[in-house]
Amino acid sequence: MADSGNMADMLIHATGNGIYRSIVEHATEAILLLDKDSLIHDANHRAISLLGYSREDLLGKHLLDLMEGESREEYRDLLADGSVGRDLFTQVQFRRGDGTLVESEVNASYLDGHAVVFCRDISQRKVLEEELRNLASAVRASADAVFITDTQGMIYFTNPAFERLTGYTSEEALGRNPRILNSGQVTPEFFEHLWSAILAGRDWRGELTNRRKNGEIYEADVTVTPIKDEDGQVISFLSVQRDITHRKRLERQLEEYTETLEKRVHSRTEALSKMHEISELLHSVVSLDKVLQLILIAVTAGDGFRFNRAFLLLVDENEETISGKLAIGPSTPEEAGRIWHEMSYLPKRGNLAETLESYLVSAEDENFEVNRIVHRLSASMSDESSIVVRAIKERRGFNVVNGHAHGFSRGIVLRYPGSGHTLQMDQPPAEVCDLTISRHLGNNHFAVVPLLWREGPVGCLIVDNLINREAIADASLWVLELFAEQAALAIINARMVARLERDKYRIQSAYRDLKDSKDKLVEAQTMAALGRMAATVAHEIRTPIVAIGGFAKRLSHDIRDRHAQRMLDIIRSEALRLEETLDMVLFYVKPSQPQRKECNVNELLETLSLYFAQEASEMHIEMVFQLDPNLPQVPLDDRQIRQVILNVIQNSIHAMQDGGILTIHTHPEGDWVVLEIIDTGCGIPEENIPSIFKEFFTTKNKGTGLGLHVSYQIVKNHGGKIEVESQMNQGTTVRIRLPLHPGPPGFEDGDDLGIVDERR
Amino acid sequence: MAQLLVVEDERSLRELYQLELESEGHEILLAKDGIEAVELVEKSPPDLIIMDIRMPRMDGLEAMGKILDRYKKIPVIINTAYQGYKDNFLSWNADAYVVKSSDMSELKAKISEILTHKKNR
Repeated sequence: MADSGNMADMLIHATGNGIYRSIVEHATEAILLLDKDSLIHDANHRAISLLGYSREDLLGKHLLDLMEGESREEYRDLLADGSVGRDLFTQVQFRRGDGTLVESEVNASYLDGHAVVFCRDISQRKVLEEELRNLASAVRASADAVFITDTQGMIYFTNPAFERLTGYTSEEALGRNPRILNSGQVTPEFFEHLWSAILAGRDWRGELTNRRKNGEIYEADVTVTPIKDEDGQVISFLSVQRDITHRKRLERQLEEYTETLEKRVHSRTEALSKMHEISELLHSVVSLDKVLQLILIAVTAGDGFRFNRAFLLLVDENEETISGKLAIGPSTPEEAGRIWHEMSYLPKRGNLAETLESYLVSAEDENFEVNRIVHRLSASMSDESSIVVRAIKERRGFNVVNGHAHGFSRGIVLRYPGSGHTLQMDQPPAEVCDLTISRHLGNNHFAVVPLLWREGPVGCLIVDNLINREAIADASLWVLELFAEQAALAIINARMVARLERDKYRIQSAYRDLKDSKDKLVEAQTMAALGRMAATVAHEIRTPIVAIGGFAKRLSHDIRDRHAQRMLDIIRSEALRLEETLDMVLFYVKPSQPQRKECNVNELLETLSLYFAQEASEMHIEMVFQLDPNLPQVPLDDRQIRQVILNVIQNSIHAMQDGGILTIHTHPEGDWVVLEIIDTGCGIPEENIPSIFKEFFTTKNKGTGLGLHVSYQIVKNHGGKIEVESQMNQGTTVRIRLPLHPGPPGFEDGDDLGIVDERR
Repeated sequence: MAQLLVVEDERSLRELYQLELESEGHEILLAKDGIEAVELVEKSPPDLIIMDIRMPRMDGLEAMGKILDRYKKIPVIINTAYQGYKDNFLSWNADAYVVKSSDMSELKAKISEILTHKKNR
């Protein structure tokens, strides 16, 4: 600074000089020239912008007036203390033209009262210094351990947290290598990776397992940052370490919890889906026995809940007793082990139904002992202390562990124990129960689960593990309880189905009886009504017909006139036709059983031929009789059979509108007399043949459609058969077979109509 | 020559039977219902009775019953419009059952058959 006086002097004198003036004006420092009264004589560009006044406002101001409070006093003191011609170096606060403050470093050279003042804005530097101070105290106060090494890895700074974390005091650590923290659990490759990153000037972050001074291992989250100089050269390394041992432990715990939970969820999901499968199977079965078997198999099977033994008890209908019904399981632990072993060879996946069936078959002989036991488990429902009765009445299961009964029910709560890594169920306190059944079971560990349906008790399920004689885990009871609900439903279903079947059968048979009675009643009423009507109709119609026909015949005896005779004959034959029709209708309305007497069919035919002789000759029909003279007598109702023959011949004649041959043929055939009426007429279309014996079937435009139907009925009532063969445009053969030894009347079923084939 | 009692409520049929059977050489008595028939038989038992069934006041089955109670040997031919009465067991007492027809040959045949049989007995 020795030269500054000269420089000031020179500057003061040089301001008028163009070159120096320009130098001063463009200097990077703010420069003020003061006259001997410390008034600003001149200021360069930089000074104007620093102080925030225009040149005009600035010139003539006193330097002290630009300073703020304390700064002004200090500066005045400094001035007063020194003498003129002394250099001042201090920091001051200027108040700028706009009122803001600016920190400045001031370097003033006083000469003869004049002065040159260099000012530098140090506001920025002040801020940085403040920050640095703050940083330093932050680093010291930091909870994270911080240390700094040189490029050789030698520690030259540690903070208090470092000591807390590592156990090494600052004094102990300084000058040493961070290797002191090496736990030996980190691979050399890992460090190589670290070093290659930071030597290349990159940050490195990772987790390290380190060792404390006392040998304890700790986990740290580590950041190493290379510190560079202005040229970008790495000059040191800043390492920040955070203790994450606790966090890591929590993480590991959480992982374990998650894993445990997942396992549990998985096993429950599996159990639930298995149960669903079993339930579906259960509900598809309606036989109660089968349902009970399936429930027990599901509970014991390797594919099911895997209990060794299962006992099923059902409450009786009056809810007075609960009785042992069925059980599955080995007799002895040794046997259990063998079966268990065998079962493991059975298919695990695939068709559950088949698997269960195969268990059923394989386990059939093995269950002798348990089925003896199950009957001893029966109890009276009024025995309130029995664990079985309690389970049903209190609607909750019991897990008996080592002879102590713990009640449980839906809503078993999962809880995290304060320490340890596994999940456990709350074990409810033991209750006082009559545990006689444990003696029968020969086991101190078992579980009782009630089977309930809405409000009503169904029964209960008792399970245990005979092989290992271990207590039953509460977790498996959770699923068993759900299954019990399905099992109860299946039992109820099966019972209902059985009851429905019974009721259905009863109702059906009652309905049948009722219908039969009603049918009989209706039939009787109908028959009675028809009979009355038939009698009336017969009387009211036949009487006039008989009178008309009878008197016509009578008259023809008395009248010799041929023309009148002819007309009387017509009246007679029409009267006869009316009588035939009436007979047919009456027979149809109320068929009468044939009044049989021994008759010769040939004689019957010969009498009848007289009826047709005239009509046949008029229609150019030749009638040919081929009657076997050795034809035996047949028991028949001549009036009815006559009607049959008349009907058939009538049809044959009608089928031969252009004439033809009508052959009437008889012959004996074993126990039958056979009568054939063969025409050479138009024939019957094949499709009509099945219908010709049906009532009201006719293709003629006259006729009742009853003739063949009534004929069929009459022949049938005689125990005979009537057959039709026909060829279109060639003719038809009607064959009537009458038995020599007919069965009792009504022997034949009267309902079926149609063609009678040879098999009848 | 036999004496026949025709029991028939229809006047026209009584007339027809009388004509037809007289021409066969029989003597004909007529009754128009069961009561008359029973009275007539009381007065003079005929050789044979031709009995209608459906008649007012007293039907033929009842009348036949009353008559046969006392005159077991008088043969009776039931001659009715309806075959269905055959199923009534009362009709089984009759010697024959002939359904009325304008062709009276069956009835006549039965009459001569029964009379011949009776004579031979």
